[in-house]
Order: sequence, then structure tokens, then C-alpha cells
Amino acid sequence: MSEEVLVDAQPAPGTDAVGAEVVAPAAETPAPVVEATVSAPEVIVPDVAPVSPSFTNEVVTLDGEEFVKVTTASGVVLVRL
Amino acid sequence: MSTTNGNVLYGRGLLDAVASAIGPNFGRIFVVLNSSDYADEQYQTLAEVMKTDTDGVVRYFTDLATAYAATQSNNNDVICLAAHTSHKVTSMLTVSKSRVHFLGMDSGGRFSNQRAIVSNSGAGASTDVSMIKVTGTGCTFRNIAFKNNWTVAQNLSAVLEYGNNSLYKNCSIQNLGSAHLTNVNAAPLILAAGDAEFHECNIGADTLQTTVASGQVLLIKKGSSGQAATRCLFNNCIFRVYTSQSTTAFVRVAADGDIDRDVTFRNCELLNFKTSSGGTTMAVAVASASGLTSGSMYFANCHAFNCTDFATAAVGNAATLVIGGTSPTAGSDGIAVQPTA
Repeated sequence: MSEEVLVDAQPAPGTDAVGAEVVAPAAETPAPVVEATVSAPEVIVPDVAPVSPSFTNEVVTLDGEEFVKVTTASGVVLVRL
Repeated sequence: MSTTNGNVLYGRGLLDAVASAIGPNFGRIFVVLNSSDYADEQYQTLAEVMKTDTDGVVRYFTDLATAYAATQSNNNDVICLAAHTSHKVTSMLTVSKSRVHFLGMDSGGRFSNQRAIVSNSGAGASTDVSMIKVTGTGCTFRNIAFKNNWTVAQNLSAVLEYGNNSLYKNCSIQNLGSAHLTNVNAAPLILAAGDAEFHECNIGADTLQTTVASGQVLLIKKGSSGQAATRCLFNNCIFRVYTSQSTTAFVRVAADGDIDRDVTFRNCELLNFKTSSGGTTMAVAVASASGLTSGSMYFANCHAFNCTDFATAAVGNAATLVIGGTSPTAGSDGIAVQPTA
């Protein structure tokens, strides 16, 4: 268990070397649940098989408005963006 | 004879608009227009107003990712997105800088389908797990529709919100790729943010029918940083879905530990479009994780449409409390209860 520490991606000018914003939890609140080591993969591989590459969505422009062509199980449909 | 320079007035108007959205302490302003819109008068006017500054910094862009690259973290830089042809990203845009603000030059106030659009096209790459990934602190998104069209199997979301103190107001977040309809891990919004706020936003789309069992609109799930969704707020938001599966849920928590403190929904409408061909009633609107004790979901004055129950013990109602308008089966008026059924 540890205190919740929110760290900016880059230090702000004038901040310490860590550039951290440390927000201590309120005293009356329970300690946050923080897992010390989490190694979930960045890329989440879906449980399903990839669809056909031919099922790519393409954006088309008709009279100044954009539509996306989506291939679904029931055919190709145009969806306004 | 007037000697007023119209472009000066236009630039002043732009500054006023930014100040009203961001506040007085904003950094540099960058504008992004799609080159397809060259015939628009606005395209020409902004090219004259947003000149490269005296430090050589370009302020006028035709590509969102390039404009983002020009911003400086913590400088409260602002990217203004024109509201005609969409701004397409060619790979996942990772917003890792802090205090960068994105403003759609939509007229503002729309719940859905804002006319400033961030989009993409084609299949995407296996590394494009989301269209937008936010890890920075204090970033803002206003008046923007995020419409994700990638179809590669690894792409799961339009927005992957892993940041801190992000603010979304009047934004749409939608998956429209054909593969999303059959991918159980896909969700338009995947959330593991600290103190993210969504105001008057539209999450999900009812345009295309989801056919995968146990899909969801909002997936609350930790990312690689290990940060849980902490004190996140959905205020006055609309969730939409069109599904053939009764096991689809509007909100799903992947596991215990994925919420710290709370994720709160206030005055939200959860709309399942069941009346068209193939649409079906969902069993539950919310599917909590089994044994969720790390945090809670609070639903205050939210309404689920075309769902049999708001949540049930059978599917998962752990740490899920509702109050007002959702027909809880126990408790008294004004007391939040765990829906049972």
C-alpha cells in the first residue's frame, strides 16, 4: 500500500526534479488500492480472431460531408462522420 | 474611411474564444485545418491570421499530430480544430504532454456529433491500440467528436484515458470500425484515469449493430501504469448502443482493483436502440467486477432504457449503488441502494 502519487509526464518549470504533484489522500478516507507491481501488456490482444483485412473502413466525401464505409455482416453501410 | 484590419479583429475574436474555454492563462495557440478545405474562406483567413511567429514557431497546421508535436508540456498550449473536414490521425495519437488543450471550432454545446472531428481511415496497425491515448495531466478536450474507424484486431478504443485531471466537455467518443462489432475487448472509451471528468458527452454509437457477446460501451480497466480509474465523473452524459446481444453492458468493470474511490455517473441516460431489426433488450445496464471492493460506482439520477435490470447480483453488482430513477428494489427514497433483482 502506498500513498497516491500523481506525476506529470514532464516537470513543470520551477518544480522539483521529479515535477510531481503529490496529492495526499484525505485523512478520513481509506488508503487507496495501488498494486505495487503491475505488468499488464500495453497491447491488449483480443480474444477473437482478426477480421478479414478487406474489412477496412474508408472515409469518403460526398458533397462536402464525410461518410465512413463500414463492411458489416449485413453488407456495406455508409455512416456519416 | 475605416482603417481597421479585419484580420486583427478575427484574431482577437479567436483569442477571446480560447480565453472563454481555457481561461486567461493560455499558452500558444495553434490551428489545424484539413487541406481539403482550402476553398473555405475560413481556411484562407486563418492562414493570414495565424502566421509563423517571430520565434519561427509555426501556428497554422493541416495535420493534428504535427500540431501536437509543436506544443510544449505544461505551457497550456491550445490546439484549435476546424469544424469542416475531419482531422485524421495516421497512427495512435498519444497525448503524453501535460496541460495541452484541444478545442473544436464547433459552435459548441452539442451532446453528439460535434462538427470538429478527429478520425482515421483504413485498417490501422497492430500498435494502434486506440485512436487517442491520453497519459498527460490536465489536458482538455472540448467540442470534438472522436470517431474511430480502424479495423485492426488490436485496436480497441477511440479514446484510452490513462491521464490525470482530463476534462472532456461536449465530446463524442465512438467506435465505428467493423471489427469493433465483434471484438469482446473493444469499447469506445477505456478508462483508467485519475480524476477525469466528462461533461455533456456522448459515449458510444447506435449506428452499427454490435454482435459480440459481453461487449460494452465503457470499459473500466487498468493499463500498464497500474493506475485505477479514480474519482472519475460522468456528468449529464449520454451512452448509446445498438446490439444483438442481451449480454452487452453500457459500463463494465474488468476486475476488482480497476476502480479506486469511485467512478460517478450523474444525470446520465443509457440508451439501448432495440427497436430496429436485430436489436435486443440488454439484461443489465451495468456489469460490475466480481468482488469489487477497491472502489465503487455511483449512479445518481441515471436512467437505463431497454434494459431488463440496471444491475443484478447474477451478472455483477458489487460496489454498485444507484439512487433516483433506476427502480432499485430496496431502501427508501434518498438512500442509495444496491440494485438486486
